[in-house]
Amino acid sequence: MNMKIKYLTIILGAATVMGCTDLTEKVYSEIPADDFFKNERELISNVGRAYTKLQAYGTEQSLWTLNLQVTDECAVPVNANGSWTEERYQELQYHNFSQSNKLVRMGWEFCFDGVAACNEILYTTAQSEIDFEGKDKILAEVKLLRAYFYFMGVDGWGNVPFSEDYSDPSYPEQKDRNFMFSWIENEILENVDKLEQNPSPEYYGRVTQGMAYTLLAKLYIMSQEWTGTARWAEAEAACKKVIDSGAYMIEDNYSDNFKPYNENSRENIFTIVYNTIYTKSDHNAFVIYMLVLHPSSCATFNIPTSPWDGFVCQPDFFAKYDPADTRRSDSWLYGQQYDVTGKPIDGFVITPLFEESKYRDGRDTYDGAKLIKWKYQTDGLLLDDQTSMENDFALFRYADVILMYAESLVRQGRTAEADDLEELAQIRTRAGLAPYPAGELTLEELYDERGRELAWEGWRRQDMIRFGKFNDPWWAKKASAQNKKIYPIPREALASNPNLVQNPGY
Amino acid sequence: MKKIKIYTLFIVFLLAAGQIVHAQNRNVTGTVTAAGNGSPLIGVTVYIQGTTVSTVTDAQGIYSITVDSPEDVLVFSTLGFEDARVIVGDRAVIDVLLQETALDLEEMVIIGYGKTTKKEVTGSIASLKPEDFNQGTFTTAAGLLQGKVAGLTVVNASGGDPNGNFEILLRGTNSLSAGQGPLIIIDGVVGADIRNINYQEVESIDVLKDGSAAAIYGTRGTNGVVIITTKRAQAGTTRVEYDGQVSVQTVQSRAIPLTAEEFTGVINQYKPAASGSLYGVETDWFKEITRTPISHKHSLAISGGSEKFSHRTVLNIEDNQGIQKRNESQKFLIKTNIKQSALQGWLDFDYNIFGSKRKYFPANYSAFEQAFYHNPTEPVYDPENQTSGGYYRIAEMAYYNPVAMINEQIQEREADDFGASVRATLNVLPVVGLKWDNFVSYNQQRYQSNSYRTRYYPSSIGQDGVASISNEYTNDIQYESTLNYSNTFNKHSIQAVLGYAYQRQTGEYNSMGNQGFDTDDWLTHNIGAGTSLKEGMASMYSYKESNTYIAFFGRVMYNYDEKYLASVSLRRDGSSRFGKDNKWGWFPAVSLGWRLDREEWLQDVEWISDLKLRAGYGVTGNQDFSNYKSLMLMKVSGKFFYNNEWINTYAPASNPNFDLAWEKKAEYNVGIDYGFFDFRLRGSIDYYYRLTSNLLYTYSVPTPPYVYDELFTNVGKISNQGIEVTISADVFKEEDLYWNTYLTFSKNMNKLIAFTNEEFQNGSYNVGWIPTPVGAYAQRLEEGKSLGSFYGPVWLGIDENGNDILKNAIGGIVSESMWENLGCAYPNFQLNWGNTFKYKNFDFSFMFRASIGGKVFNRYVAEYQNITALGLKNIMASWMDNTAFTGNVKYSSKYLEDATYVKLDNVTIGYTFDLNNDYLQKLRVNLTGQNVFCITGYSGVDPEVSLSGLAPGIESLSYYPRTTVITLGVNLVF
Repeated sequence: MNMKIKYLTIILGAATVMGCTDLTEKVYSEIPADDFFKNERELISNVGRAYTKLQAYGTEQSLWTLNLQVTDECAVPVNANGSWTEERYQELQYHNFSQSNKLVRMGWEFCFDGVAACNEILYTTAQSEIDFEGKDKILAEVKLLRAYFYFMGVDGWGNVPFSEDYSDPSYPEQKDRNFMFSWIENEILENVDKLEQNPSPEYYGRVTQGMAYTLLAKLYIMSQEWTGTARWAEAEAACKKVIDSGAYMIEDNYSDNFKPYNENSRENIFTIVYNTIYTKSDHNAFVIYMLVLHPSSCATFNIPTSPWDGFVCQPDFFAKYDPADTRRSDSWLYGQQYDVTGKPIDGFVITPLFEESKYRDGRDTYDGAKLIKWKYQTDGLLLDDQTSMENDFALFRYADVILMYAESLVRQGRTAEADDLEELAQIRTRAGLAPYPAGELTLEELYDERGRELAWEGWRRQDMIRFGKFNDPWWAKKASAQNKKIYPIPREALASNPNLVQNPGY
Repeated sequence: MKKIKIYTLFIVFLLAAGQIVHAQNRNVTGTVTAAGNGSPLIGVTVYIQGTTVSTVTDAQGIYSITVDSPEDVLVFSTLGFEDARVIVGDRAVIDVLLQETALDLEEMVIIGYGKTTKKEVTGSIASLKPEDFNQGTFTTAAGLLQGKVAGLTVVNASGGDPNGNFEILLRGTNSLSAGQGPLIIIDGVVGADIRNINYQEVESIDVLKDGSAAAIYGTRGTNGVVIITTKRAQAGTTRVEYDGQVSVQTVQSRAIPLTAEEFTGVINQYKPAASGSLYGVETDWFKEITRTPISHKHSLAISGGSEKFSHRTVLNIEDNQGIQKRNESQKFLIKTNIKQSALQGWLDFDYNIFGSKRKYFPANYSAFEQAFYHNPTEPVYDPENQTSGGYYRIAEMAYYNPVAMINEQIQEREADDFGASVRATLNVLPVVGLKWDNFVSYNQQRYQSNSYRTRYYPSSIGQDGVASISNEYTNDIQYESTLNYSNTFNKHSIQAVLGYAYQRQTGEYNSMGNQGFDTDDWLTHNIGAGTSLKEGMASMYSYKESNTYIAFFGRVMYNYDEKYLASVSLRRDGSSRFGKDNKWGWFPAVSLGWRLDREEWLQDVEWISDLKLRAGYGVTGNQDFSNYKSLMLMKVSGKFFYNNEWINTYAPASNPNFDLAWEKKAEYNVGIDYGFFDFRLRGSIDYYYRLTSNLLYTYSVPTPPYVYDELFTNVGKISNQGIEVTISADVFKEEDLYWNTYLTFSKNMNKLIAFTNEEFQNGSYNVGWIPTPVGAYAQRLEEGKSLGSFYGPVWLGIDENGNDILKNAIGGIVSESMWENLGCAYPNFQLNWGNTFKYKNFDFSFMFRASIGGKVFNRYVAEYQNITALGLKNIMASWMDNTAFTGNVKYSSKYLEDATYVKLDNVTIGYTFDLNNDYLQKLRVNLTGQNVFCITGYSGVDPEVSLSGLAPGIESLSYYPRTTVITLGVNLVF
């Protein structure tokens, strides 16, 4: 009996030892890639990621907030609490960019994370045997998104790493603006006809032909700066494509393009769709209210937590508005402030103009006009820097196309044709101003008008460069060197790719 | 020693004299007693040399054995006593006195999968017994070790927090991103949670320090192995032990702001513009949120039983208060060890079962920071204010009433853990020294965290209550099978083990959050009632993971005449975490020892009691990183607006790395163990060099082609080398007077040898981000330099405008390329000095712990020793000694301070009563002071900051004050 037990123990134990050598990982809460890409829905949900890459544009430290701060429309002075003293903000204000500037890096990542996602999507979708109606169309959209990400990258950094094939793991080569110009132009022209022709509610937030031609117009209008060769006629033609589509119009009310539920605007050509519930993290929420508002404004907009009281409108930029221009009060918060019920708040008066010495020494508590262009919802749901505003962000807007069209005409010496533009007159009258009398439309005036119409929409840097203003001195900024027209390549990017050479002067 | 043996034989001989040589196959009996006090010895193994015939002594020390011939030699052997050998002759009764073994050398040392004696050890192993442990009260058993083992740094970075954990670092930082804590083994359970044992129940702690000792644990041995054995079942009459402690704490150090009076004075004199911030009340915010905490612990142990079945059962109850109001930790632990012997000695069982419940109310660390900078002229309460719930509140300020932070947040954490294990040992009696061990254990941990912020919690006003619940369920199954063989043939002694180990861990996590409640009364217990659920703002989460380790291992230890010692081991280790092309690895080790004192030419040197040279080499790994890192997984990414609805998008979870492998450490160790003057002076000296390669780190990779800009991969190399010295001396060793003093010294030098390879060219990396207003990376990872190297502008002084003057500044800014190396966070060396005195029934001990050199970044001074934000916020009281500085904060060497400190860690005085009592065997009372004082030039809270991780030496603003703990303890044995 006892011996039996002994032998049984020995046998059992030996069996256990022999049993287990299996080290396969069992996955529960993710999907192994080999089991994915099995149907249309899965392909679409992977493709959709290319669009989600756009959502980083509205976050705290983004390509957008980078491009804002290097222009004359925005400043981040030290506030009355002594906050916002970090060097990264001063570097941008003074055009003293360093390769370790966090915003420069975040801007770069916006562009090239976007490109990388598009490459992966294009590759895996092409690899998949699943076919469905509209597969070509949605791949064309991804190619246009990639062209947009590259456009923004080349715009900011000039010389960029170029890769269009996900399956090639080698270090990407660095390409200059001439090469990239042709590549982007080609990508748009090759794919534009595969895209959805006109906007529709089903296609809201997606790439359409209108988006493609607007991007093409923006590429051509920057051609002189990028390649040394002006392409005003091509810019004009691209704008004309958008105009002739008849799909877009200048809205009667300027703010309809920016209000919390602005998806019905027919002026917005291509928007990043934001939602208080579905885009809710520090890498995909539109949170400009946190950056600009003073905590006292909580009472005005029914915001429970304190915003950070940082970004303001530069006083000299504010002064460029005609007092009759309704876009001034549509875009900026200044003067006496009111609570959510309309009662004046005692002592809360915003002063839009203040001395430039206060940029570094610290402005007074209520100095500086605050952005209100994207109207803030008062439903109490704006909680923190990870809670997005409902307002969708129009990257491309019809008014911008009209102004580019007018500009390309004027630059070709066809001012009279620009004078006759009905939509240009609408832009003026909508703002409570008279249309330009014949012969008064100059490049200088167009530059200022673009500034007022498109304030803080992210195009001021390109405008300042294209109109030759970018290196001028302005409020709290001295003249800067020509090489500052492109940013330094971030240190992290240089370190991770030996093919990259730093831009001149950095 | 030899003399003692001869003496024993002599006594045995005398006892045997007069007996007559007689027949065969007869019974011999006798009593085995201790030579010192004459008490009978239980459980002494008695066997006939060269045969398998054996028995053990019973509770009266009596044995009975059948012998064959008068030439048979009886061997008497038990732990803690010298073996005795007696020729049977004609005697029927053989009584034996056993001599206690000389101090030290025969002491058992637990090594992985086995044990040996101190004299036979060839690796670098520190072995601690209860008399070596720190006294006082601790959050976990790691506190017993602080300052006791050279090379083992035990940091208490969380001050007086009753829920704080110790951070254990062995021989420097050997990893860039994998874990740095040692592998903890409790009663055979690998990776056990140290919080689930009562520190008063620890019987021994063995620290396997070098590679040759730890290699038997393969991919988990790099950070050293701490083997904890708790008190075991004991045969005999029922024994009841009670340990009780009561402790109080007082603040020893904290960040000190201006008082209300000083605040008013400084504003009036230096910053009249901020006089709007004077509210005319005097509030000491720190006082408002703290108390004098009283804690108590009780432990009751019952043990006893027969040779065949015995147990030890412990009940442990604790209630520990923190100095922050509402911060408390309660613990309930019940644990049993049972020993059973079956099948006439063929089978031994060792069962362990424990259940533990820990309930705690965590501290709000940021409340201490808020209390520091909160305006001291504001009142605490404002009964008129309905919105704030009666707390004084200035709505537009991003700072919060600390009292409301404490009162209006209810946080409860509850851990319910359970574990059981059984070890079945099959003694293959026909083969002397052959055993087959099978060990199975099951451990589960359940953890629930409930947090509720009422509608008046300062940062949640307007959200009408914020509730969150999270749960974790983890379980761990282990199986181990080892075949052990040990025997001695003449002068050859051999001990071998061959084994297999399997471990599987599973973890499940879920959490939920909701807000907008009609009432605060529900706390988290009606979480579905919040309005956020309907608004789509509630959160829900769940996740599950698992992993498997498998190992085959073997080791042979051999010695010749206890003079020449050798040990060779090899482990084949596999882990599911590694990349599919890299699942298995080899981990070899070899170590040698030479006991010089056993050589003839040293036999005559009387004062040398022990002298051993050791040398070892071993390879270990580190795989303490998360699961699934090697796989290409698709995870839910952001939401995409598609055809008028929001749909999920998917993205690769990370860049996959199919080659992912363990970090690999090769370590050389040479050492000397010495004992002089009959072990009155003893200790050891070790030198080690450890090279960790295949270091895991998250490298920047270009996007495109990679989807993400980071890849977790094996690239770098780090070396650590150092010296460890331990000296212990019994200055007095009399009947009534005893004084032991010991000193440990350790010095470690760290060097990042390589950080890049051909594929991953990262140059230097910035780490140690210090947030705004400092806004700088304080440290760099740089090849050829130590980790923890601070870089920054050199501070030269203050100019006439009250601004910092920085070396090489252009326009007030020093470009990063001009930054200089400002020193390293790691100490130059560490010292511990401990003393134990015994005079009659009194005992007294104290220990100093010192860390010499190293830098620490003082964040409180950087952020709050200036008047930029004064008014809105309070500042350091020490600004009043530095009024020249009126500028903005700029990162520089100004805020780096010398981290040298000397701490009186522990002072204990105790008295043991003489009892000659049937009811009470022992009564001891003691009084312990811990963290009594700290001598340092550092102007912050505590220079002893966390030294682990990639950015060591940076003091955190969210902190827990350091406290002095006074504990009264009583120990009773019935």
